[in-house]
Amino acid sequence: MALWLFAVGAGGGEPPGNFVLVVNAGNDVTTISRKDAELIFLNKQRSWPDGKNISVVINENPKIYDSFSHIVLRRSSQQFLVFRKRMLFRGQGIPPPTFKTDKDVVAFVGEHVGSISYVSPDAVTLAVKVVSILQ
Amino acid sequence: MSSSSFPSVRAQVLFLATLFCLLLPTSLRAIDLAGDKVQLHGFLTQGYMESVNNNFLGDTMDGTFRLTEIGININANLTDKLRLGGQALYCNLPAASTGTVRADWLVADYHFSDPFGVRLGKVKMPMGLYNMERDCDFLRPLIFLPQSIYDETFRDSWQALWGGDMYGNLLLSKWGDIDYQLFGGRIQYEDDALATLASTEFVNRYNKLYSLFLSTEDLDRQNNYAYGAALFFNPTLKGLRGAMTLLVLDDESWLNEYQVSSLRIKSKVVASLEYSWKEFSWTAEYSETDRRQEQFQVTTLDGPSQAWYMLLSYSPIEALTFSLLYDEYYRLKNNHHESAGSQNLYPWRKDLAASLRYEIAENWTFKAEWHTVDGTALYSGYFNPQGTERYWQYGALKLSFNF
Repeated sequence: MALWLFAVGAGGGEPPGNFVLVVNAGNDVTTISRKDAELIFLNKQRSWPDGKNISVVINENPKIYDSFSHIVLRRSSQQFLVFRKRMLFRGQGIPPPTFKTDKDVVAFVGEHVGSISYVSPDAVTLAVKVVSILQ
Repeated sequence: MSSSSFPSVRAQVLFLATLFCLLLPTSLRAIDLAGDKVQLHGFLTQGYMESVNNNFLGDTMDGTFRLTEIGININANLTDKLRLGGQALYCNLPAASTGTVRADWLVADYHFSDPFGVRLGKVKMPMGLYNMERDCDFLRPLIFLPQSIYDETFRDSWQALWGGDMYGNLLLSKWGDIDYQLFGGRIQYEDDALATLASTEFVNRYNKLYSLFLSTEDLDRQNNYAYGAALFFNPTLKGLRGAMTLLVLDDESWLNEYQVSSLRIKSKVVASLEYSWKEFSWTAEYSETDRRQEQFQVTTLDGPSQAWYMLLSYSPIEALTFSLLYDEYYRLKNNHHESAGSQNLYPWRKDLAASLRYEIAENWTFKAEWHTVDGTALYSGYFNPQGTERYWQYGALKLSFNF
């Protein structure tokens, strides 16, 4: 299983990353580009290659939320929050479910086919699968 | 087209009471009505504003707390591709009469694929970077957006139209991606819409000039059509965003069976650029509105206006932002200081503003700002029937909550 941890920042003053991208264990996807991950979490790419609907889950665990936002979405967690509110209050979509802990996120992704999120590496269980991020 | 307002006081009170009850049990989260398939969200803002030398949007020279916005929305994902949603909005602004609950947006949204979706109903109308989110104070960078492009007089009318739009996201390989929208339909001008009220100004002026006794109470403003397009460019370069929007529309105003005025906007084009770097962000927009206006079958305006602004922001910490705005508007692009067809001696508007924004918590925002203005373009005459001063100021404080 390919696993790419953002152990150090990507440069340019970005905070160090310490998260992994996870999908439901039944998902065939093993790698994903950073750009695709960005589009998925910004609600612009809504289906997997097999046609199944993508279900995004936001993990607000403060240990990884900022680094995920900066590295994958290339915006601060505050800007990401504003983006979701903008989508909602403009009438352009429903914001994804949000959890505060890795445990809750892993439980949700493990139960929902098509879901995707990010957690601390040590929170990964057999219910979810880590996908590597290609730059 | 049916009206989307609920004029009875009882309906408004019921709406506010319901919203208040809903706010009690929830502080920071949406209310999930059926798992995550149906969600209820909302916002509430209250402000205070005051102006010096001229009124702005109503009787503001003595200060006013009539700066309230309350919204509540419900969304339901019926299938993976079909969503229904709507937002009710209550606004109480300093203008003569705004205080009804309206449908802010009301959509059936079918997402065929990532590059193509369709929304039908009352859809938000893109114009520049901020028009679609103008009703939500916590999404706007300022309490009052740059008036040259986001004229507050048209806010309650031009933020959405009844009809539909096509939207999608297109990948541009290594260059980034583009969000597009194509929209068309009709704008609904409520009887108490600020644009309708402001358009009575010329009738009052003609009454005065020609000793007429035309009543403005029955003035009815109608939109025959509105359409346009928007492109939002998200390039690979981190922090950069660009946009180009186009709006075309045709309005008529009727006094009983007589058409007293018409406004045809041949094109309102807004070009936008936004760049964020570390603690700084820079936003600039330029716009020209080519329009033809007739009053009592006489052409009183034919040509483009010109507008632009620049907004510089600095955030020493993520929750705190200081901004400086310079905003310019000219009624006539090719004749900045002549008021052909207008009684306005100062048909321009140059606005220098400083603002502060503080995110108190995830769902609470506080803003303060002060504007100093040269010129009285954009309907100042309607709000100052006693006459206008060339140099004037206005400021506001505002607190917003959303869930």
